[in-house]
Amino acid sequence: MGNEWALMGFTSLVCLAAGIAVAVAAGELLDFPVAPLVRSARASIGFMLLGALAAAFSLGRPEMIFGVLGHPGSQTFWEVILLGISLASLAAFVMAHGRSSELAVTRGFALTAGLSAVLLACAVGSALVMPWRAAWNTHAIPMAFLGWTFVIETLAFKAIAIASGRSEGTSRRVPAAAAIAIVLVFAYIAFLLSNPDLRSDGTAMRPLTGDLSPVFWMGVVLVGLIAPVALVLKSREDRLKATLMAIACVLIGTAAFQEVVYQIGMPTWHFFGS
Amino acid sequence: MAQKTLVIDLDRCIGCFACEIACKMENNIPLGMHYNKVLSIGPMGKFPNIKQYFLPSVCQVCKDAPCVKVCPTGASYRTEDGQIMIDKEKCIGCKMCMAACPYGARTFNPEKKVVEKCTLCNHLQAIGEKPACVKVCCAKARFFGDLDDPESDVSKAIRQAGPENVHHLPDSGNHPTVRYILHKKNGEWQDNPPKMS
Repeated sequence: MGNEWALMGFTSLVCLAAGIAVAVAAGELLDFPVAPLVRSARASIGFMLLGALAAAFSLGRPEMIFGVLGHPGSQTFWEVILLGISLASLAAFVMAHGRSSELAVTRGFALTAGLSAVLLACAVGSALVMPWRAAWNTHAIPMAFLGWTFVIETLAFKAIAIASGRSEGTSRRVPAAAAIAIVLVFAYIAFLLSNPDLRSDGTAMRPLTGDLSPVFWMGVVLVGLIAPVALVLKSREDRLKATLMAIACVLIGTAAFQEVVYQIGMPTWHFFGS
Repeated sequence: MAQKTLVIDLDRCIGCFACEIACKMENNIPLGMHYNKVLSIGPMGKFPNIKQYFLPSVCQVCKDAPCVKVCPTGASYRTEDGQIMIDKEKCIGCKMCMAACPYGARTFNPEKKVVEKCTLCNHLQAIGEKPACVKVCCAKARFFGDLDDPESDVSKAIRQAGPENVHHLPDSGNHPTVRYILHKKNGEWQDNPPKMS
């Protein structure tokens, strides 16, 4: 179709921003120092805006995007609304700390940002759930993207904890989060294999042994899930750098997973090419 | 309620591509884009018992159109007589409808930055004429009309062919209304067609 790169960027950056936003909320609740939390919130805002820009690039006429707001029944409507709430909450969080607001206020903004960002990640993942398309007729897709968001959250939390000097024990959560994400990713694969039509026409095997297997095994599994765990557990010096590299790996894995899901679901009949 | 659609008789279609060309001319479709494309299915079987047929492909005018459901601005909509149209004033070119269409029957116009598809020549319908592809078909293989009207051309063609010879593209809950007539002697209808691009 031509806009899958932009959609890959949008989905992966939204998951990244959502994970960071949740980590910021967790850090705020645990009374972490303000500076790393504010820096992380600004990073989350930046990634969200970058994702929005990527989405805008996928549109033929981005100047008309606000026409979406007149159509509450569409998935895109909720993506725009939740994106707005997340950005506003994160910005309010940063400004509230800048004005030394009360704890209840900053925590309120942090929790709102974290919750709306997770819902945004879920909404973006749900955009591909289509009952009339065999390979996309499952909620395992948004669940998998929530899994990616969870991995990013544990790594982002670890990074904030390192910057705050409170990183004791944060490495333990990373393998558990990666394990959950692996389970959710393979839940989607299991869904494909459980459909007799997708099995018979070879679609179900495309990510495992077919044309999508390099993207799946290298991008999704190796770079996206195994490498981050290895980076975090193996490193002793420069742990912040290793954690940030791990986040970058998960970002690549998220984008690769989006590409695999997208390509699997493209219509068998494709009359007119892309 | 009316349901305007096409019926295409594959027993008669000779693959001359006149419908494809007429469509492009009538709708000023740029190079590389199609609203209607003739695909070649087959050959099937072993020599000398080989069969082949031509499949003019087009928007399937689904009763439960996925493209209408996913459109974020309401640009894709269903008319009162069952046709699926695109309001280009509202289209933002997100291409969600292109991803949603089970048949890949839509196309993106890079000049106008909107998605386009077969409109069953509604501008010709407005002046009482049939779609260009129907008018130009030299084999009289294309029929246009209201499926809910038993006296329409489409209903008569379906009745004449017999239910065992009337087929449709795979239905995954979207209920395509376009019908294809194909007798077994001329070819085996492909329920699971090969991927085409």
